[in-house]
Amino acid sequence: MKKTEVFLLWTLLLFCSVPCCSQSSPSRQQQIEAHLTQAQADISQNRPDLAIGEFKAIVALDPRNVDARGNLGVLLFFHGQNADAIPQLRAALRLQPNLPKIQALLGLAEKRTGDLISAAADLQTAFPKLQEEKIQVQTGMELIDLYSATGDLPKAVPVIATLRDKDPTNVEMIYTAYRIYSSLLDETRLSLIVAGPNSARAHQMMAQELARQGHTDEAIANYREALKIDPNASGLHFELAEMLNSSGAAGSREEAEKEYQAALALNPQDEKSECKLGDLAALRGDQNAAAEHYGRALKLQPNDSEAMIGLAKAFMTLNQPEKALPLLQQAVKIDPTNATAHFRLSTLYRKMGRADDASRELADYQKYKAMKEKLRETYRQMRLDPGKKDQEDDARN
Amino acid sequence: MSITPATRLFTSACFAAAIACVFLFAASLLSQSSAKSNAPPEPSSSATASHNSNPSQPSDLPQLVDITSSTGIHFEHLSSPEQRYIMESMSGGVALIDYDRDGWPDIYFTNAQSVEMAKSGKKARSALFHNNRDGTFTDVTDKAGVGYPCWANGVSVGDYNNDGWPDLLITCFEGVVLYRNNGDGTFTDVTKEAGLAGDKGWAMGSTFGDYDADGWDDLFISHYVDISLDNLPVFGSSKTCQYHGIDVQCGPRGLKGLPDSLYHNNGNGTFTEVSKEAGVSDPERRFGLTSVWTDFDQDGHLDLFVTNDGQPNYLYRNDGAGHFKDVAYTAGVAVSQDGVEQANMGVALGDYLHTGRFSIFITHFSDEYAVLYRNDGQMNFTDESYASGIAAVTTPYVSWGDAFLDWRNNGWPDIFLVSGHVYPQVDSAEVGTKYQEPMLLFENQCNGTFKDSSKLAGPAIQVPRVARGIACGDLFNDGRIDVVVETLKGQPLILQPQGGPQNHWISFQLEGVQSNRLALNARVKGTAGDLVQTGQVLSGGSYLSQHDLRIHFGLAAHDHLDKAEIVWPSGKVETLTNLQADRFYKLKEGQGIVSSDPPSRAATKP
Repeated sequence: MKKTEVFLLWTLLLFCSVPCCSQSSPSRQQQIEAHLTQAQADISQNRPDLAIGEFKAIVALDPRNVDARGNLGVLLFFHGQNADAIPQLRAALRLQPNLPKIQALLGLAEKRTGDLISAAADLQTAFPKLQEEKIQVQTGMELIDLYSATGDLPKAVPVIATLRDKDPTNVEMIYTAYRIYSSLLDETRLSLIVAGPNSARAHQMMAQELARQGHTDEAIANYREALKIDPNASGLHFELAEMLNSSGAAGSREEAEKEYQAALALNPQDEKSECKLGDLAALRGDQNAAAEHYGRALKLQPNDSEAMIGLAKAFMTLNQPEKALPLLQQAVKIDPTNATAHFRLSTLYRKMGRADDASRELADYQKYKAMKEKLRETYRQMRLDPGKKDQEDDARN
Repeated sequence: MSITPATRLFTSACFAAAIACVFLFAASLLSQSSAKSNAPPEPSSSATASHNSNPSQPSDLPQLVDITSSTGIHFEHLSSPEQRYIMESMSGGVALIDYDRDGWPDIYFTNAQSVEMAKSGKKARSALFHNNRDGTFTDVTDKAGVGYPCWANGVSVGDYNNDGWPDLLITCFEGVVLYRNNGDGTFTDVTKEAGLAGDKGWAMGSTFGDYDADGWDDLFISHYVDISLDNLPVFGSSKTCQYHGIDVQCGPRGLKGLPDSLYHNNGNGTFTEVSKEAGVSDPERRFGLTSVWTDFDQDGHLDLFVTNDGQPNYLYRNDGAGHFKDVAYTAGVAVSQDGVEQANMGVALGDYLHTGRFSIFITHFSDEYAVLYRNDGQMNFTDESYASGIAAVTTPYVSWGDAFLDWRNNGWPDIFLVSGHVYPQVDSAEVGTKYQEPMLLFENQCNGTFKDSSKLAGPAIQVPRVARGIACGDLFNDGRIDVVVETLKGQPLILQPQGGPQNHWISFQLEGVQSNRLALNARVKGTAGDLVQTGQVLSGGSYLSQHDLRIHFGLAAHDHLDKAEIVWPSGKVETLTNLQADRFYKLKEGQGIVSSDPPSRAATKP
């Protein structure tokens, strides 16, 4: 964006009014109008440096002229004279406090001059009041940057949430959000290790980290250690069960089942564990037990689409399609992108002779499945590994 | 709501047979006529037989005994120790082919070298074993001229020139080889003159079938991965070359697939490729493995089923005018019950519910369940894997060759499948699976469910192996179905059912006249009292393998077949009545029974 355009975006007052609050004599008024006319000409000729002089002259003639103060501050800011801009912008705000764009610009100027405390206060006040998206985005991003510098990351969370709501597909915003959350995660992790290095939660956190890196065995060991320290810590049994369930090692599924049961014993409201026990029962072919678990899960969490799908699967296997149908219909309403639910529903409609409904659900299944596969493939392709790539190239040459 | 009724109710036929057989079994115990002997069974006779189809008593089950050493078969499938490349893990087809038409099935094993061997110009020897009719076999590979077709993956049998002598089609790492049976114990490679030399890609499953009902066997070949020895992906080089974090061979994911091929038989010893016109060319280049023809919806036109590794299967419906349409998704056989693609290795077709319709059983990779798609008619299938009791048992294994196999001769096809991982590296890590895996045997409970009897049929099938293709047939003409298992590493395995109930049986060998000579895809519906079963002559299937072309029915206590209704590929229907059990019948289209033989005394020899 050209400097002039940026400047115009930020100004509210320029050219649209002449001073209205001051009580200048006609001769002063004429002088002011002459300076203003000249400033307009300078701006239109892309000479903000000259316009600055004209506004200074106006301010000298009429120190309570809000427009002149404001526009002078804006021009000085975009001319890189942050320190000079600050008093003009502050003066404008004193004269007329409800000028969020001016206050945002003041915050930016303060930030650039190193006055981070004032900057944070001004940007924070201005941010929610800003109407123009581009200005709000710039202000928000500066604010986040400032919080990052001052170690106030938690304060950045609502700011980025507001920005993402306004522009959910903006790559910069998404990345900024990712950075905020991951920095918060790092910070929290460190705090936990410092505060309780041998606590159950520290081991649990370590287990999660190891699991994320694919070190299943080490993760399981850490979960077990955490459980030794505090067998009643919430979430531990469930997470260990999840890890065991995915490990594929001999006997791990049976162990996982015990851990899900332990989780339920600790917390009978643990809907996720009920659901997982349903999955395991279904896997070993005990559809009646699966139906019972899923049924209990649904009582605990009536809108859990996974439990609905699980229960519907059990009913279909038990040849009770009439019970499966409403569950699957509800599941696709709650979770419209769930490809499995659409596929199951398609199968059921086909069995019922409802060909059109079956085709529609099949099309939805294929659409959402393709979407997820595309995402997976994109992610896979992004995992560049220069070392491996070199090996491949060498082998081919 | 008009739901297709479940067909797994306890049918009257099964119930009656079970009651009758339990009675007879009890009687045999009282008379001290135990059927538990490990000795090979005497040929059945209705006068002495004890019959039982009740699967609940372990002692009642025939044992699948490893008789390999007594057969004289010495064959070693080659394999590199690490299998660093995908093509080193995929070979292993076996065919039962009565190449000399003496009425005794012979055996052909494919073989494949390693990449290292191939690069240094070394070949792997495939082998043909002649059935000596005395329980032994003789290696006749060299005389037959079928030892070195190529880097051989799979094999199927057809009679492409309709001369009555069964021919061999070998699928290779680079193309196919068609061996014409000369009728004198030798074969000639006619790939080029038959017009198949243009098939250059990595071929896997092949199947002959007369899809246009002109009396000549057409040929479908599924192709796998687009790869060459000059351009091999590096072991462990990317995410698709890792398994549970271990470096392994790459593929098929991450590699390019190849299109499939349909060759129309011109009736003059040549084929013309018609894949695109017919609509079966696989433009998406899925990783094709096994393929098989059958008329799933019984509309008189052969349909085609093709499995794709890790991708949706194809079920091509034949419109009767030379065109096919993939209906796999709408039929319910493309993916798993959750809409997930599975590995789709081997295929078995069977009428396990006595509905007269052929259901589909498919083997898969570990962490996937072997799938049983019940054929509900009108191109509608239901995934019955969980309901039937098969899913949970099969999930840990990487499985390949499979068959519906009535090893008890009770008239209800059971399921047999073999397994073995593709990554030797799994043995060095705790990933819940091993390189060598046991075989699985499921008893048909006559109600739509199966019982895992893998540990009740003797130790041989419990020994972990790296198995690939299997072929089933009555090797010794004793009225019992044997199993030949080809393993990726080392010796094959010959399994013979021994002991158990002395149920009756009947066998049919069909010869087409207006239909193709081998009568591929002819169907026989056999009725013995309320035991009504349907069999079919199939080319290909299992995993890259070929079962005996004869149709075998177990008859439990029935000492005769009331009726045999033959639907020939030409559309002709013939009915034969009152056929004595425990005999081998040769039927010719339009001429009925041309011969009938009792079981051979050779059955006692192995």
